[in-house]
Amino acid sequence: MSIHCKFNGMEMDIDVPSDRRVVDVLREDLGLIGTKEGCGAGECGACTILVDGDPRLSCLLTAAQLQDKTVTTIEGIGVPDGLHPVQEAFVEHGAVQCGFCTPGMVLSSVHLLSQNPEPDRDQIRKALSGHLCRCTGYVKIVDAVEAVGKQGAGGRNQGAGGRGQGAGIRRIDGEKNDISSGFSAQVSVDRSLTSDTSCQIAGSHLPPPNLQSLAPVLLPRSLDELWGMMRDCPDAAVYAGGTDLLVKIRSGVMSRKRLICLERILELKGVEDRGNRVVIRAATTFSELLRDSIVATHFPVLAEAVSELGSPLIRHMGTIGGNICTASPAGDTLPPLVAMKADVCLSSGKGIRSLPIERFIVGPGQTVLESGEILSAIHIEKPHPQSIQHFEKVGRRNALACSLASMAAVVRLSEDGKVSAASLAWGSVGPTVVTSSEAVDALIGRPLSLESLSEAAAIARQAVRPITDIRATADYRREVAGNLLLRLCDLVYCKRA
Amino acid sequence: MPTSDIPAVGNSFPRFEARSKVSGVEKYAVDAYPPELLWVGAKRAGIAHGRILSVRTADAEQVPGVVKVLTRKDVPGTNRQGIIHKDQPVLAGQKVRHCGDPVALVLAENRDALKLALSTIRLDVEPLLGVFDPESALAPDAPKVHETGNTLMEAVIRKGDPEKVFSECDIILEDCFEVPFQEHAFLETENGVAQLKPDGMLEMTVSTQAPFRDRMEIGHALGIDFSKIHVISPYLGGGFGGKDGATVQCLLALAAMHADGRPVKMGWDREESFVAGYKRHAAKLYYKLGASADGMLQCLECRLYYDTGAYAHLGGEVLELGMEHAGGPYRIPHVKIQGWCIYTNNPIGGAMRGFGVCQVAFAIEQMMNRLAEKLGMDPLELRLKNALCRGDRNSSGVTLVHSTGMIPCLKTIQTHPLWTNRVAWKAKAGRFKRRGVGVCAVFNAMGYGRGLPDSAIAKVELTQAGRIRVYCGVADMGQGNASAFVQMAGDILCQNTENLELVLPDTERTFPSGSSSAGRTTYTYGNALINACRQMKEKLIHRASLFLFLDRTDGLVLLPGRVSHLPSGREIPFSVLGAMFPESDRISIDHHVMAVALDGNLDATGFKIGFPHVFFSYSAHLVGIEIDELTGRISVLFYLAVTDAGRIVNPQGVTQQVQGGVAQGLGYALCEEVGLQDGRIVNPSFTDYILPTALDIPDIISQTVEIDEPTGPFGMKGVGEVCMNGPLPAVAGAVQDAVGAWCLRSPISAGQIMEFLKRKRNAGGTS
Repeated sequence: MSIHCKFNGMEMDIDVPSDRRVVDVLREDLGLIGTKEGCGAGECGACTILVDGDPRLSCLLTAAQLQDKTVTTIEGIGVPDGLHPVQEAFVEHGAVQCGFCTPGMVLSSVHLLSQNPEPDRDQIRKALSGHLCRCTGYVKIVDAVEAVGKQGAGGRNQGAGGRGQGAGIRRIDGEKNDISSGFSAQVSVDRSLTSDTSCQIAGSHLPPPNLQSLAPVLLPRSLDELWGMMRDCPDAAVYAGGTDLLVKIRSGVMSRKRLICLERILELKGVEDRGNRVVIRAATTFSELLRDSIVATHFPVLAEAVSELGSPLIRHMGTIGGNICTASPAGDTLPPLVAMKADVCLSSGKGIRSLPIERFIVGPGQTVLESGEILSAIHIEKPHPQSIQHFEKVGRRNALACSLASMAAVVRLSEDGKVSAASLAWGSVGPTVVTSSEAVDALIGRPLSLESLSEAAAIARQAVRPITDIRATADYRREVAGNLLLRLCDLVYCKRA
Repeated sequence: MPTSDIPAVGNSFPRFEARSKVSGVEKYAVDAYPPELLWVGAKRAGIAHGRILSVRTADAEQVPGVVKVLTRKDVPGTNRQGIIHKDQPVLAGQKVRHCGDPVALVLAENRDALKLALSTIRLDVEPLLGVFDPESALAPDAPKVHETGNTLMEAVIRKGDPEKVFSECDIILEDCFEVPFQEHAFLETENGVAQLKPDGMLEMTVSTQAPFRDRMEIGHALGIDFSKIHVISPYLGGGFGGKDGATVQCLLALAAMHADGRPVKMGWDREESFVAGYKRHAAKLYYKLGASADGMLQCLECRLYYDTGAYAHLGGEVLELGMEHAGGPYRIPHVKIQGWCIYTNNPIGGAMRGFGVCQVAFAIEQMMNRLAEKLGMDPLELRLKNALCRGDRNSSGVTLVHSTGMIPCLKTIQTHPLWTNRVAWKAKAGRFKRRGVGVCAVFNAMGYGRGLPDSAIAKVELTQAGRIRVYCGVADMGQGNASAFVQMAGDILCQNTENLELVLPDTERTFPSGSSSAGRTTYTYGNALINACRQMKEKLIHRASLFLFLDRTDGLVLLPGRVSHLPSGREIPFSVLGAMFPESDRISIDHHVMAVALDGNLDATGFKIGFPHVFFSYSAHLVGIEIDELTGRISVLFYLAVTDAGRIVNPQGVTQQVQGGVAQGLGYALCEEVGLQDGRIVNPSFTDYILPTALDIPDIISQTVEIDEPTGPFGMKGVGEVCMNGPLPAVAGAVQDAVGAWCLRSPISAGQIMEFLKRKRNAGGTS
């Protein structure tokens, strides 16, 4: 398949199978070896590139998704004798050790500075939290990015390549000579390594087409186009962000098949305020949700869950609809959506039906989605503006964490500080999201005190049905599921303070 | 690129290769895609223990694009790889000893065909009862992993009369500690390319820490003359010990021998790296420590069981180093340290940063914390009281004749505000939070130890074009030694980076300089390089004097790119000298061999090579943690590491090593564990093997106490390993400080903390 896109400032038509991973296209077909692969599953960030200026994991991206896009790889950010300010800072501050994570780190840093020209250390840590580094302990990387921010050198003018081809972005033309002369001219390393192993352009190592072309990726531009494709290819797998599906295909959990990617269907994107309810369209990415003022204003419980989901890289790609359809017991958006009693809209060529999210997900990985149907939107009633919304996830680390237990709470207090209404939902402690009307009842009419919350927590521990797996024991999950309720008294306390 | 300063030793010097790495043009082994290459992959056994009945490859051979499928019968030579003990088959033919054993090798035109072919290979195997922990493996009726039995090594260190002295101790404490396997988790997985050239040379580019030794290992396993093997080692995308020894090497060489001269490429994916790669040894450690009422350590008895998994790799040597450090950096007059390195059907234990020391550092430091609590003594005071000084004999009976900075490290912490203000800091814990502060003292030997010369050969060249070229024979896996060599050469020869070139390890161009390991890389090669550079300096001045018709050389100095005669102001550019003299005269080569311990009265048995050591780096660490009572989660809020690694060549480089080592150590302390179920890894991915992210590591503060080590290049000692040993014991101490419970196993998970808190609550309820 011929794909038209712009690589590092140069328009190109590349002829590659549409389901070829972008990381392979870059490294093996275009010779852009600066993009590294560390895990193949979106967990390390080494393969990060910028697509239309935003970071993407090229191991979880199919070639088809590059169609008409502007791609910036590390080679497009700077060359050894003409480094981008972010790269200069990495060199100067000692942020480079083995260097294998570095290109990805640089690209995410360039993007961060384009959005936030003077980030503080916490913001930098958060922005880079999808990139694993095994050498540096991250400190010097944070130092480098902080320094660029303070100099004001990496900000808007020089920022995130793709979108505007800012001043800091260098053109390269993908020719073998230019890529390699980039280094031999600059660095006095005698490179015995790979003089004869340099990059090959335009697919000389491509597998024979018969193996790959069996599974093309389709990119419908509208729902009507989508329905036609789904009718023609009833066995195709539908995906939006690819952060779950492509991982499953790689691991063999799901066999390779024809894919339909929803990312270009505008009817599936965006958040809409409809008075007392809000419509979130399913292919809206987590990043888009986090930027959305309607979500921030009315659904802080959802915003909080989304802000900790995966990593910034995953959040740029993954969508809320995908998170719901994956139906993982640990799905981070599910407890808030259940706590807010969201409805999901299921659309097909034949029409639309709507049902409560709790009835949509029926077991781990199981939904009532029918063949020919997609999840198209989520409808949520706005909670009362005074309600306390709270979400907490417990993982084994602070980013890229699979939840061990989580809890979403939407609580309304009456004038006298007593609970007048509450909705509680727990994740990762049962096959689907767990709710407990008994726990809610234990709170109604009482203040959010340690005493009332402890009683509700005891009830919650009875209600949950956790399992022991490699991540945590059932006992731990049960204990923590109850404990998470206690944090509510902390919140009230903080509010008053 | 701006004109750079001369890279003076002692000043921060951004890495020589940083610009090429940061712009993505630096080529790692994995970036080699030779034209016409074949992809190579191994079929892994997937079962921990069994007798192979057959390996059925017929279907794989039929897959379009498959060129060859190889099994044991295609392996010439001994089919045995291994650094010291040759016990690991290149392709298993008779027996499977762990899940990652390769049983067949496929060569294919593309990765899809390779993947498909591997999935069709059928292994018929008669399952055997497996053994999955060292103590069970020692039972007389335990299944045997190897025909020779399950004991790879058993050794004892004795000093004084511990049996007698224990009966006289005021305080005796006993405990047992357990630590799991740890994954190196370098981002560039094991990989390489190889090609059998028409002249019979086997040319390989591999992500390896030991290119010269690889030749021997490949040659032995496959029956190839090692001089016919050419190994090139570019910069590594991380190593940490996991690329010390054969990973892809023998498989690649075997594939190349069956590829009709085409290049072959093998790269393990992340899961394969977990399943087949080496690990830090899991261990079980029994400790008994005796002290007098004033806090002076009197005697130590310990029994250490290291799980080396299916093969030796460097298991025996890892155990030896663990035993040598089992008593901590303390004066203990009477010791009996027994160690066993045991085969099981687990993944392979091998070299990893800290090399056996991380495990015992946890144990001895927790014993010290317990002792401090028992005595009601400040844990820092207790350590200062017992810390080794120069002139002392350490637990293995070696007299410390070289620099010994344990006490200066501890004293730096003692006066640091993070320590002096700790009570007030702890009191600031919010609701549902508890804070704790932990301190520890650690050390790590440098070099190979007795029995194996720790040697390096350095070469510098004045190129024909007039630049100084350093031939680096020891791999740079990311720690920055190559750059340190450039810095040293630049300093001695007064050259800025524009005039300096570097040749990375290449068995045809550089000289055998040992592995990149053991905290010895910069020390040993650096010393050799200093010798070579001094000779080069003398040579350049002499040759310039010939050119300038000078009958004395005392007015001649080296300046960037030239020799200058100061009295007359006349100068000779290097390019003129380079063009003038033949290659044989433009080089200087010299070597260095690390000094060894000379104590002759050691009472130790069972040791082979690598014991004892005489050089040590020291470090004291301080950590502040906060525990969330509702979830048991630990947040590390501050971290201070104070290190004696001799004089500092590159302050930035030392900080990099310390921060990186501490981060790996915090992973080991808090979240990293290779989960095993009957020898099978249950978390072979970055999804479930939890590495710390940027949000999990605090701003680690690194300080040094610069104590000159006169034998070291510019007074330095190795710094890469000692920093790894501190975080687990420091955090364990902080946990005790916060919740009053003793961690006996790592990682210290939130689940463990919740257990502690529950136990405390229950105890509180009944009292």
